Amino acid sequence: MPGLDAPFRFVHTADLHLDSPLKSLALRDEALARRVGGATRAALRRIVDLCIDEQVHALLIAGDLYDGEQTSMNTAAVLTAAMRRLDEAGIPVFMIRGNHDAASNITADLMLPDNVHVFDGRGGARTLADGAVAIHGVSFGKKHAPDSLLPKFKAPLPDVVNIGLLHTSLTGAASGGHNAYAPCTLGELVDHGFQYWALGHVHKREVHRDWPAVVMPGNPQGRDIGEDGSRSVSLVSIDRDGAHIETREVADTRFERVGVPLDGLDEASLLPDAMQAALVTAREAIGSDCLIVRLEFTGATPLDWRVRRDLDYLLGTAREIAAGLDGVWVEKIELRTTTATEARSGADSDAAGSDAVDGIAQLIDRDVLASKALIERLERDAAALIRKLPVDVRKRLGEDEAAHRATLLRLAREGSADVLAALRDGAADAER
Amino acid sequence: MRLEKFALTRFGHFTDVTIDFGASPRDDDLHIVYGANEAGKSTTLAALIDLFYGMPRQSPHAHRHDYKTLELGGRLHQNGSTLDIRRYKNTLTDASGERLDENAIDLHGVSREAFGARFSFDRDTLQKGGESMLANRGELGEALFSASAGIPDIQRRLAAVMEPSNRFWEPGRAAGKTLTALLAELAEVEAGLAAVDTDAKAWRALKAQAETAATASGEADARVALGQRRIRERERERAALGSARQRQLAKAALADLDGVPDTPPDWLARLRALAPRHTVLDAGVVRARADLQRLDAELAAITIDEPLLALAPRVTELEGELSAERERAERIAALGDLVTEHERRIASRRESLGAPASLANDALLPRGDALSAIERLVREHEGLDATRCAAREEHDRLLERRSALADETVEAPDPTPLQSLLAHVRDATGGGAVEMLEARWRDAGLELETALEALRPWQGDADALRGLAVPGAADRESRRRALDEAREQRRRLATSDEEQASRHAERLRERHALAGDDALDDAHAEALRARRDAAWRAHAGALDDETSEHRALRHSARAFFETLVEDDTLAARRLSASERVARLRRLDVELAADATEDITRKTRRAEAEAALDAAGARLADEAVALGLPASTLSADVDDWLVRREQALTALARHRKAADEREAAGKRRDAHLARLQTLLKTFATPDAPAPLDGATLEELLAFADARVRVLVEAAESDRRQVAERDRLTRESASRAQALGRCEAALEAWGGRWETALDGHWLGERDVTAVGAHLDTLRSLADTLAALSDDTAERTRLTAERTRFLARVRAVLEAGGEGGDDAEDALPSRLAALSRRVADMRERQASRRRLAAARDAALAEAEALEKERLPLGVELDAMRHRCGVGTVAELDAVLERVRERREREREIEEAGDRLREALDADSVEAALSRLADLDRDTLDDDIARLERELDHAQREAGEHRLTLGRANESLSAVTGDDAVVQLAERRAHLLLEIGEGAIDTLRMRLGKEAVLDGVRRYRDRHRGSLLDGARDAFVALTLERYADLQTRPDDKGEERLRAVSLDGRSLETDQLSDGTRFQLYLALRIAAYHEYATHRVPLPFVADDVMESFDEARTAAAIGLLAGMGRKGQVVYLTHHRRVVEIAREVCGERVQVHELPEPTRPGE
Repeated sequence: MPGLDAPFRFVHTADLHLDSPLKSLALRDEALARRVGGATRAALRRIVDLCIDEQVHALLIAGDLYDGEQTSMNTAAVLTAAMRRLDEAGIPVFMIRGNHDAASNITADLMLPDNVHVFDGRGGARTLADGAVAIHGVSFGKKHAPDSLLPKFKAPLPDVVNIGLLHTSLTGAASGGHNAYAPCTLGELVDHGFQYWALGHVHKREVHRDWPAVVMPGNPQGRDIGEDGSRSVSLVSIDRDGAHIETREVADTRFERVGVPLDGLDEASLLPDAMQAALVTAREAIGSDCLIVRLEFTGATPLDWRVRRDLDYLLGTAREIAAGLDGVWVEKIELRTTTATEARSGADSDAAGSDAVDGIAQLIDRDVLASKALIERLERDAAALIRKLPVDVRKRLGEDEAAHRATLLRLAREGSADVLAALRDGAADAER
Repeated sequence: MRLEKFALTRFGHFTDVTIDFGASPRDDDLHIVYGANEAGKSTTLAALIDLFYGMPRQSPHAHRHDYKTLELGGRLHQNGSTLDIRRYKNTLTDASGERLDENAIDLHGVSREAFGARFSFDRDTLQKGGESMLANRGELGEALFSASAGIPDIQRRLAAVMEPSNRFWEPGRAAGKTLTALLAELAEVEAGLAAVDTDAKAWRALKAQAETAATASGEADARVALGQRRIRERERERAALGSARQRQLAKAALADLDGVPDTPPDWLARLRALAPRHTVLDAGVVRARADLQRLDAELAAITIDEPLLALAPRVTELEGELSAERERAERIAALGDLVTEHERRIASRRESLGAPASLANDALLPRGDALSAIERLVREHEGLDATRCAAREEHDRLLERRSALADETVEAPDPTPLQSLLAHVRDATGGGAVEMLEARWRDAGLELETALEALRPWQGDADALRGLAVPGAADRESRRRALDEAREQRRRLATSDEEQASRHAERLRERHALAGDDALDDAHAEALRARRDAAWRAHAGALDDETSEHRALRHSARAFFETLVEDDTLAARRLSASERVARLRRLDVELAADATEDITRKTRRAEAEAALDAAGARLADEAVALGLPASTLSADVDDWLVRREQALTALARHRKAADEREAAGKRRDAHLARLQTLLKTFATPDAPAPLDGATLEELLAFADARVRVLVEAAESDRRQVAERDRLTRESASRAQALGRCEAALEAWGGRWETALDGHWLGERDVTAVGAHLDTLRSLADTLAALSDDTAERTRLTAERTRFLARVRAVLEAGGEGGDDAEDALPSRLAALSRRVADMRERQASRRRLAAARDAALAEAEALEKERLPLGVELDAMRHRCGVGTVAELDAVLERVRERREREREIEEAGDRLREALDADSVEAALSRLADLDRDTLDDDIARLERELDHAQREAGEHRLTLGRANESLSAVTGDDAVVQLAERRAHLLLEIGEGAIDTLRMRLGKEAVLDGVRRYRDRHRGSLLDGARDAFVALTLERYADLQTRPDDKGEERLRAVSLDGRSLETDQLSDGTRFQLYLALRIAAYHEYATHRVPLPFVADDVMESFDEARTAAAIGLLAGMGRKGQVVYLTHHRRVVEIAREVCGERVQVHELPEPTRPGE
């Protein structure tokens, strides 16, 4: 009977999307762009360093190691070099393909060293540690996998630590549709009888269950503000009785949303102090070498119109403040403020309004944006502009007609608030 | 909300200025605030806004008063009650200083900016409004919105807002990151990516290319190898032909060299090495022998004096000491002078001391440091003597002063009881307390009188007022509300009646218009039908009448026919007009109902009037009950009640003052009596006590004078006693000090004797010794110097004698005779030194020549030793070759070398031949060459080389292809260039996306806002245009009759003004002044529109009529008064004429407030 002398130790990661670029307006700063260029490569390097430093028994990669849009053999070269380093250190690698790497052009030409085992679409199992550990895996054959891949896994081997590698959206069969990726439920995974499910696909880290362990490690390097906060891989130590799971950060660039509360603020000269306080707090709290921040202004303040009007100036100021802190960049300021008047008088539905500008704002909300004729005109106007844009950019305005229309309406609503803020600015001029 | 009072407590250059707008007036609420100075006006406007919204931190009005002390105040009337407020910085409080929430001021959600824009205007904003109407050609929606929001210049503002996003999008704009620039950069980055990156497809193609090229290159290499082998074969054959020819030529040459002797092969080389060397050695031997002879002769010529050389060290040493000797001689002379001087000085000191002549020099002074001890004793004695004199003198003086002081003092009475009573009386009556209470009582009386006066027409005294029964506030409030409600009810009825009357008139008018065609009404139809029936009956009767004729028949038939036709026509018309008929009928019904309604309305009006009368009567009763006329207004009763409270307060104050005044009088009398009694005990004959009738002031003055005299006398006594005690104490202490001094002098005498015991100075007294102390000290120094200098002179003289002896000895040894005087010795020593040096030089020359001779001898011997074997060897060679000279020998050996060379050539050519053809022997090779010829071989080789060249080129090309492919493949190393470019590309897409979305947002936002403005226009156009029309006609003094709108060619509605003669003018055809008035008219209309829907906030206008003539000013004030009927209107001006015109136009209905002339700093 096989047995483990010591716990089996491995690193579990997924969704690195090697060489997919970081997206942030902060990269307008060329020094920063040079610094974070190839952030995913740095993350891969650190993962390999971690495996070697910790002398683990294996590295497990649960899909989407590289990106579907990735066609550069340059990426393949980086990948091969990283795997060779592990080979030289005697560390085997087990990987499956997810929706992205299954669809990638470089998959067929990838020449990986002998220490790397890629499970194919039919699935299979490999044993290690003199037969005390079995690693099972099933790859995506192509981009979509609308059905569960769980039936392709073998039954657990008896008296052995069974580890399963699976790329899944973990949504359950019921919600299976065009957006489901190898759907299955937590219960189904647990029932299968493996001791550790090394999952991939969802970019947010979650330990679904401690024992038998079901772990979605999240992506190790966030690539835009949508993937903010801490990112990590799992360092696992497992035997027949349980698993000890540690998180290890490998990203050197981190995205973070930082709130700037403006409640009750009534002097524009205090805005820089408020931003400074928020940025300093964030810098002190987060140890990352390179912190890309999106500031979110919140709260009810009479300065609302002023903030909207001077947004470019405030962004410049925020960037200057960040330049004085070590390794902090500000990519954008997002406004979630309301005017103090709105906050005070609540929803005043009288269109005669306390103020003609408020009156117009209410008319726009209630009538203008509900007008079919106007929406059609907006769509026509927008179409002429949109034609000039690269295709990749057009996607941002909505992938289908309904989404496109909703985007335009949202932009019209936000834009009208900005325009009205500028007109209020006119009111302030009149006062002066 | 209404502002009843406005206080500029500390603001700008104002201090404690209050404007009282008063309680709500019955009709116009128009206030003209006049200030002579423009700054005061704008400060007032700013202050009003700051009162409502707080003071900005960077307030421009904190120049006179510090920002921290700025204060405004006011009384607001809002939601049926009044509120007193104060404003400090951003803090709002009520009158008692209790902090209030900002919402305590009901501003209906109007922001600070909106208030400034909507509830105020000045000349500048109106000017801009007029200009903006010119700019947008009177576009209606914008004009209405601009006027309503108080925002002029919307188009320019919109253009400014859109500017950045337009800049992003529009092509050809170079500045900043435009879309065009970003797209260009994107294209560049993508091209860069394509250049440096290798994608999977390209990679596969490269790999295939590399494999094909590798195969082709291998094949070409094989062909090259074959070709090269064939060429090598042909070339070997060609070389073999050449070798055979060389062999033949060498054999022929060898035949010519027969008979040359056989010598060892290295002889020629040996000869050519030996012969030149042998010649050189011969010449060397001859030269060396000649040198040897010359040197021997030179050595023999040099002689040496050895004894002289032996003296050299001693001469050198003495020469070295010569300068020291000179210094020594000078020093000995100087010391002689010094000794003489010392002796002279000692003789002089002895004389001044008066020392006995028999005394030796060393017995003149005391031994050891006794001189210092004597010095100390002399100084000590001087100190003790001085102290004794001083002590004695002070002691005597003190005794003298003590005896001068008298012993007796004067006794005076103790003034303390009088002092304490005085303080008590002053506390009770001081500071004019009684007078103050008196004045307070008189003021309170006057105040009470005034308060009672203010209650007129009410009659009665204070007690009557106190007894008066007053109705409760709640009762009064309910009665007043009843009156207000009754008034409101009557107003509503009147409005409703007016509406009903206008509806009724409208119906009558419509009825009249519809009924214009009386053929249609029911009565007419009835009559026609009756006529038709009559005709029918006549016709029927005619038919029945047997006597009737055809004529009559025809007549009746036509009549009937015509009637029938008319009836049918009418029926048809009535049918077609049935709706109008129905409307007519409905109108008739409604008109009838109106009549009934009229009766009901009359009843309700009567009821309302009765209710109003009853409510009025109840309030009148209340007034009568208070003793006021029944006609007193309710508000006046309120005021009267307040005044009554004030009168009661005044009454209470008056009574309290009377009580206090009386008590103070009593206290004063009591003090007077006590003081009088006590003063009698303090009287003296010089200062008799005042008489019984004296006033309190006289008593106090007398008492003060007595106390002052007594206190001074006591103080003087105390000082004298203290002085006497002090003198007694000090004289005793000085006597003690004198005693201590005498004792010390006695002890000193003992020490003095011990110090000078046995010395000749012991016979002198201390003063004499003290006088000679300096002389003694100087004598001691001189004696010491004499001793030192004498000793040194003795030592130096001895050294000199020794040196001169050594010089004489050397000169003698060196045979240097001459003058033996001490002065001549140095020059003699120098002559000897020169001779010694000359001899040393000669000795050195001799040594050099001896060394040169040894070297020449050694060289000659070495050359001869080398020459001998060379000569032997050369002789041997000549003999063997049978020749005499070296030149002949060289020629023979040269031929021997040539013969050997030819033999080697033959052998080598044979070897090459064999090797080239791979033959076993030369003969076999030669036989194979028989069939070959040179030309055929050349042709073959040329052909093969061409083929080879071709194959090599092919192979090169394949290798190049392979190399390039491999290079491309190995270039895929995962360097950073690709990933940096990809990042750049992603970022550019993001930038384009952000820019595009910003632009879209602003464009769509602008469209939405413009659409909103159009909707706003549609919603408000009626009321706004009507109001603006009236105001415009009035402001233009009816030079314009109407305002119209008309769509332009794009369908946008535009404002037009219609002049009195019927011309319709666009806004750009109006004069600037008229446009200004048009915009003002729109602003006034917007105010009315707002006031119709909401309770307006106070409106503040700042001098907009500067350019108006008097008639226009009057018209504008009329319009402001009209606004004043809806809400409070404050007009700020610094033109006295505006105030006068307002008075002419509005009479008492306008309230004028004057701002005080601001005080300048330093006034």
